[in-house]
Amino acid sequence: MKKILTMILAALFLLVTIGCQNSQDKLYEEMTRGNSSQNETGSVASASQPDLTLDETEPKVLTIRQESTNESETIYILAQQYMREHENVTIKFQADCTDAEWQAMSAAERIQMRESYEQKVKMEIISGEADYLCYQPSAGIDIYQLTQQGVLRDLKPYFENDSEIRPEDYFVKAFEASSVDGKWPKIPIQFVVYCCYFNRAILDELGVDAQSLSTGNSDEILDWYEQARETHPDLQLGFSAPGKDVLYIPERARYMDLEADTASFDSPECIRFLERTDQVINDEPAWNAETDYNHLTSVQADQLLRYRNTGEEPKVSERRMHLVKGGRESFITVEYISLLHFQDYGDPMEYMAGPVILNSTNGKTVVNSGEDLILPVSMKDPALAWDFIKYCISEMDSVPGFDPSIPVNKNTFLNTMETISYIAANVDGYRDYRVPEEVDGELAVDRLEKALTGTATDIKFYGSADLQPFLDEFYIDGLTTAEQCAKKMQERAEIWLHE
Amino acid sequence: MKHKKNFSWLFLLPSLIGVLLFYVVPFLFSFYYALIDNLGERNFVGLKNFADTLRNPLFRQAAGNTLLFIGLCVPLGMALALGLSLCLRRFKHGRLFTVLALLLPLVVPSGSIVYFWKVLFDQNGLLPLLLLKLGLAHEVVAQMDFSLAALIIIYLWKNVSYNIVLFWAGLNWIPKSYYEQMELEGAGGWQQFHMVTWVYLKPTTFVVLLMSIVNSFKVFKEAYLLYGAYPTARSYLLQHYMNNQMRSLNLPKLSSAAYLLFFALGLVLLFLFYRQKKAADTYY
Repeated sequence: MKKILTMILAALFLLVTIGCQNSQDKLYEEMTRGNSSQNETGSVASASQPDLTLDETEPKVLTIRQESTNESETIYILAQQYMREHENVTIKFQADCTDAEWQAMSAAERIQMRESYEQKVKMEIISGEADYLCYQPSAGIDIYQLTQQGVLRDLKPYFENDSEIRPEDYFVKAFEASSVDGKWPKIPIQFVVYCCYFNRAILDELGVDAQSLSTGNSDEILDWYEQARETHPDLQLGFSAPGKDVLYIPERARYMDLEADTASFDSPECIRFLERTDQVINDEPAWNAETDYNHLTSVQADQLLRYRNTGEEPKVSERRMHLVKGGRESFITVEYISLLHFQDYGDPMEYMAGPVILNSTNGKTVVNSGEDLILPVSMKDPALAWDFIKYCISEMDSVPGFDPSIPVNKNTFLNTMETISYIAANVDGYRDYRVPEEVDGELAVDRLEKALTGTATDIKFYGSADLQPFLDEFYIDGLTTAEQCAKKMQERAEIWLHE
Repeated sequence: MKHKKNFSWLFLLPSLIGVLLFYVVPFLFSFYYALIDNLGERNFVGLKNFADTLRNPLFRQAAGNTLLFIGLCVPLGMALALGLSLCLRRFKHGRLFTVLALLLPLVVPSGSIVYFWKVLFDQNGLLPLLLLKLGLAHEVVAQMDFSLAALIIIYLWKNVSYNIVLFWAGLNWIPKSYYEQMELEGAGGWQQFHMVTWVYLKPTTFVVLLMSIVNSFKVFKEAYLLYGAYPTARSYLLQHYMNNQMRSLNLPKLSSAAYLLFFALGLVLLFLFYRQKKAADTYY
């Protein structure tokens, strides 16, 4: 018994002394490791250079993993184009179901299928069996955690060391938004950012020059909204946006720092934000919970205000008519900025002013990346995968598939602006009857770059914390005060950040 | 004799292989995961994962909550079980019915009974409503966190009957002549309990203590069904920590936490065995 106890105590002693390094030890270790690697390779930077050589003669197969197959999707078209240019490469798609099967599923079946797909992909990536490029990974795959576990390849060295890539040709902020500990685990083909449109007449009354606004944040919007309610007591915050948490999504980046693993939901600023947003009017009588899914877009809001002011029959689709004709006057719309919104810089709408990029109050731009490509470390031919990724983000006339999201390649963006009316005509009902004829692409790039000067962060990284039940408890059920809601959110966020 | 011994090993082999394959080998292999940085690069980092886990405020909070939970549940459960066992011995009528009623929680599936607990302990449940009716302010009631109390009550409700069975067996083993002897010498109820029942129940008490500690970890099933993977800070237990690491397939963190728990429990159990042996040597 004494021998066993002695051995256990010795093991504990070893644990404490070997495992616990102080900051001096760590610094010394990093310095000696840095010196030795420099001596071995001649340069620290070259140690992280990926192998970009690609054999153009040997037959190769590239597998792309996705949830469901859809041959009209961007990735399919890009794969066909790539194979035509690289005859030695065959691209295969591995999916859990076809798009037709997905469409035929009930909501519960889709949830089950998605969970099963996410578990399978995570297991394959972690167990080292993922010999594929993963396309558009859903939120449950949790790229942030997989990157921290070191099972996703850092694509930044590929981007920086590829001589065929000029960084100035790209909206690099879209890549940086998705960075985890300085690494780029994913490359998006397209992206969007939050923007809002203001009720132009209300802004004019407040003395705010709509044209001068390029970015806005929740504190400013709430300040203006509260001022406007002094003269318009029944003014709603969002056009047909039932839910007082409409400003929460971009604002949560203010209260969660993923790099430092800290949260500040229990700060006075967050409590004040909750109190102010709880006071907004956001109940839309015309809203039908069973048939209405999305709030009004800026164009539809413009039609609503035109109808209220002039009586002119709104030019919107039939399924939105009841919201436009029966909706209440409101202050803002919040939506994702897309290619079609840039028309409004040069040709502003009569009743709605924007787009104004919506940042968090501490200046972070919230980006939502689309059509992401991630590369597991177990992928056997990363050079081939990178070559295909590079092809997907290279300059094109337009990103195939008629998606109005913003291409990460600036030249593709400019080329798309030249054919914007054709794009708009193929995006069914998105802007209703406001189809642009031409858009000043250079102005649009300039405005977007100005908006993306600060820190950018990917909205998908914040979703896993699941703080929505506490917001519903506060806003909808009225069961907690702002302090109690903030405290609960803080507790949950701290657990999620430290796990 | 030697031939019989070799033959008997053959019968043990299937179970041994199963235990080796599904318990011992994975247990030892998980130590490898505890020694690497991540599943991608798989660099050896020594005991860094253990140190990081010990430094993690969330792990420490979970460990503290688990310790508090065990510290409250185990003594309460044992005291309640012993008291009920002693009461049952005095029952002349209805003993069987009482025993069956007490044993019922053992056989009721957790999933079917969790909804009842939720109705009782939820923020809008019967207990907060009762407190509001008693005159407590809404803000005060809304701030109350019943989650840990709910878990303790669920544990006691589910496991007291198991302990009663063990104590009942132990009590029946004590010869009645000892009590008769004490009665003749003029000893009261407390003296009989202190000098006979408690002394001769010590081996049983030791077993009950061990089983209570083991069963306290099984309450995670009800905790998960009630509160999900992310309960309040007060009821966030070590099992939640490890369950969530498993969900995100963070094997290095999971393995290091599991081994720390194994070593801590091992120390506790070694100490208990040592004390039990010392007590047994004194009395037998």
